[in-house]
Amino acid sequence: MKPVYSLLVVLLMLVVAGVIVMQGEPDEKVGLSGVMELVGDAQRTALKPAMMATRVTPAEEMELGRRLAGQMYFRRGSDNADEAFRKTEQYVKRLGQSLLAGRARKEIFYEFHLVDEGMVNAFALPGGQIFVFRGLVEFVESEAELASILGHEIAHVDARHCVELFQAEMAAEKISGPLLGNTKWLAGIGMRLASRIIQGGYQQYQEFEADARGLKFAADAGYAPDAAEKVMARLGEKYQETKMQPKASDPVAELQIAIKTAAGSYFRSHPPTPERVERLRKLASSQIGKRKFYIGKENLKLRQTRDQNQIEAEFTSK
Amino acid sequence: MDFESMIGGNLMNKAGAFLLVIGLALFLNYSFASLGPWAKLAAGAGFSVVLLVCGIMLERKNGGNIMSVGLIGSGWSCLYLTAFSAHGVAATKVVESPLVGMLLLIAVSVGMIVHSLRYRSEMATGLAFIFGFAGLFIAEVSLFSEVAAVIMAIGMLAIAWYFDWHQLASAGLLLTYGSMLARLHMNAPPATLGPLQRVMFLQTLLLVLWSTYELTNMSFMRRNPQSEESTRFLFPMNFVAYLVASLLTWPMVKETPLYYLAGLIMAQYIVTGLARGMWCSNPGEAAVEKVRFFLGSCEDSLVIAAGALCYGIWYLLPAPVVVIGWAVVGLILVEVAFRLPWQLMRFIGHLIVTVAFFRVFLANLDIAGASAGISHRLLTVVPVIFMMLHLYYRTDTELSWEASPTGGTRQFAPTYSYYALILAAALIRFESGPGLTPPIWAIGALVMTVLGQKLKNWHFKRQGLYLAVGALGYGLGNDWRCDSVNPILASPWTTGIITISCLYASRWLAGKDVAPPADSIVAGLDQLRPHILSLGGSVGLAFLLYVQVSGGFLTLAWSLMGMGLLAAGFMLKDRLLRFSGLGLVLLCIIKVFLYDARTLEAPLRILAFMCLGATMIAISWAYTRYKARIEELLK
Repeated sequence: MKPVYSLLVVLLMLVVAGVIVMQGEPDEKVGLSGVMELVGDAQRTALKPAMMATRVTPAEEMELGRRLAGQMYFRRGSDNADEAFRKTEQYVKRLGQSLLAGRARKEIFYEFHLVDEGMVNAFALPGGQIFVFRGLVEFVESEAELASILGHEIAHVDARHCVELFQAEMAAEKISGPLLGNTKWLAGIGMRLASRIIQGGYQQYQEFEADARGLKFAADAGYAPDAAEKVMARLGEKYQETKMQPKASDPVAELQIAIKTAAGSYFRSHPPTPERVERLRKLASSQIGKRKFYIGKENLKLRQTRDQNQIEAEFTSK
Repeated sequence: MDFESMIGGNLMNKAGAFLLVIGLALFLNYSFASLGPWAKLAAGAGFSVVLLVCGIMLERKNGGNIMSVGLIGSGWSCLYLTAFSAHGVAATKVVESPLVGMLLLIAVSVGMIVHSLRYRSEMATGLAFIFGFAGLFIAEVSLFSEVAAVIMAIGMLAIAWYFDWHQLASAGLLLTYGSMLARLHMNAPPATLGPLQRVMFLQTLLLVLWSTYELTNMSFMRRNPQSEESTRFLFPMNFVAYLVASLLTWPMVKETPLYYLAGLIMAQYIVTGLARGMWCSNPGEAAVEKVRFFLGSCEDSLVIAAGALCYGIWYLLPAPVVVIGWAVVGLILVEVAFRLPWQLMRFIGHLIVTVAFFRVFLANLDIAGASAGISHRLLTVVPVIFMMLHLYYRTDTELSWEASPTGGTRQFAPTYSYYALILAAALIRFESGPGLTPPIWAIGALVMTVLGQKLKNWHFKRQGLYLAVGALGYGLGNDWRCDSVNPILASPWTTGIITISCLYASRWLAGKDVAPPADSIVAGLDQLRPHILSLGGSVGLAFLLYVQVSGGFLTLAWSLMGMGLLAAGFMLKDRLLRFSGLGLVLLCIIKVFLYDARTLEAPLRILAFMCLGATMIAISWAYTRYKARIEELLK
């Protein structure tokens, strides 16, 4: 092709693409989050051999999880005589167990705990220890929303995100034991700091991965995939995360803001909620319409899982 | 001239003029108490006229000497000071209107300038203009005062051009812009004007000044293109002065968007750039000359205009579309410069395209949004990739820097192919997610390897290698997992096998290449390319088995894979494949003793030992049975 023709084709492509984009609502997001994500990918790959070399057995991981869970000083079902609380705890345990079919590591046994605190939160520990706060169960509006959050926490365990935070520390303590004796914990702390710094680069990726896999766990169990996006959006509103930043005065200032933001967000464990909502929406849209899904608003109120009480009206239309 | 004459004639004369001016000032001061304003002014004017008349008479009598020039200069200075006092000094203020006061000063200045021209003295006329510009400070900033300043500047430049006074033109530029900025700093533009009117008011003034100096510069260039006088610096001086003046005056109208300024600058530079192109010879065409930068050219003006346009694009367009705007500007600059050929413009074009490349990572990869069902990421990045490929082929047809008299940029060509590759790889990563990235990159690696061989292009072959290594890295990082909703794509077997097959296929193709001599790191890498691809495939396959096959079966799987690699290594005469196979079998031995024997249940442990044993016997048997052929193959 003559250069002038290829020039015209390229110019036409550029102009047409620009015009089409202008017809939509272009995202005004400018920043280094994309670059940070690529850097995180590279860090994750580079750390892979170390993670594999220090990998612990499922039994060791579950032992670690139980030990850590024992150190959590929260009020749990065993400390609470309230019937409603116990019923809710059983409900969470039953719902959690119903989401485990698609997990990759079958050798891990999961335990779900309900914490008697009003905070809207949930977290996972290595070895399948999942903690859900009472405030979260009160915050969600349907069983599908709760399933998406439980799926997210299960995904953290299944993808080894939780145990990888401790692997380097455990390996350092093992190796340095004969040398340092009772002070081997020093090596463990040093390694913990180093691994936190390195893994900081891809913690946000792990959240995206847990979102995606959690949504899949919930959807595979038959729960509405768009529930994840809805509950995430409401969480964002509750904690008032702003989506837009004011436009910089010039391109150089824009770059400066991007660098500052990127540096500040390196150790941020969770990505911005609007981004998570957007990705969850995209994932959910690829599933919706293919089959009927369950919502379970009534089930949540009754604290009865779908397995116990399936209500026809709670299904979405195909 | 002897020392005595110099003291007596020259210095005494100047000292005398200086003392006279001081004397007048003292006289005015003394007369504060006793004379009225009119009387004070009349005395000053009378004294000035006396000095002037004496100077002129002496000049006529003696044919002009230091004495007469000194008296005339003193006379005009005193007259100017008197005119200034009529409005500017409270004790002698008889003219209330600033406009009339300024007109009075301008009248004196014009007289002074006209008189100075009799002497054909650049210095004298320059001094007269300094007084003239100083007079404008008396009035508040108004349309009239600024127009007067511009008229005075035009007059000054006309005189400079007529008498071929280069220093007057150059110094006049600083004087004009400097005095204008000082005036505007002391007196803000009329508040009665609206924001846009104020912009137009200030910018029109600056535009006229700027055009006048451009015109002067071009006139001097036309008269003598090889001139070494100071006017050859007029272009950069005018450019800097105009830009600084525009930016410094902008806060006065800050409620007006800055892109107005960018647009105005762009329009002005395009107009004068074209004027330069049509009216002046363009020294840039001849060769790479340092002097050309100072003389200014159509090319320079258009480059500056392009810079302003890029700013306007950034300001006006939504963030994801900015890259498209910049790409268009850069592409056009490169193309125009390629045809003319203009070196600076070509470099700036390349620079803009490079900046656009980096901008993609800021504003186009990690974004949401779609139009007509196509993501904005895809819509904005794909055309930029094609543009990079176009630039690669376009630039590759140029001469190199050394070979071209106008400084070719062929050495940039490979950069564009890498830009295209990096953008395509990043686009795939963000569009398909990290899970699907390995197979797509691996297919891309194979395509690049094939293209590299077809087109005999080592850059493409290397890019194939880099993509393959990246694909392997992503696969290992993700445990070959993919979050696709499609169950076939979501399986590690699918992503892993596609990726590994492409790696082995690329390795097979790479084996046919004759690598260039390893005279650099990159060329050394070219020689290792088949080995890297082969090892990558083997590592990827071993890891896939590790992820997908558990316990004792893993030993069996790895043993079989080791045998397969050995067989393939013999068939393809690939030593690395054979070493990979042997290495894997050795790994199995270590695994069996350190892991399987300790952790596996009895049946699996037995299976592991038996499989490994059988594998080793089979290998040993093959080596013995086909010893002669193997030795033949190993030669």
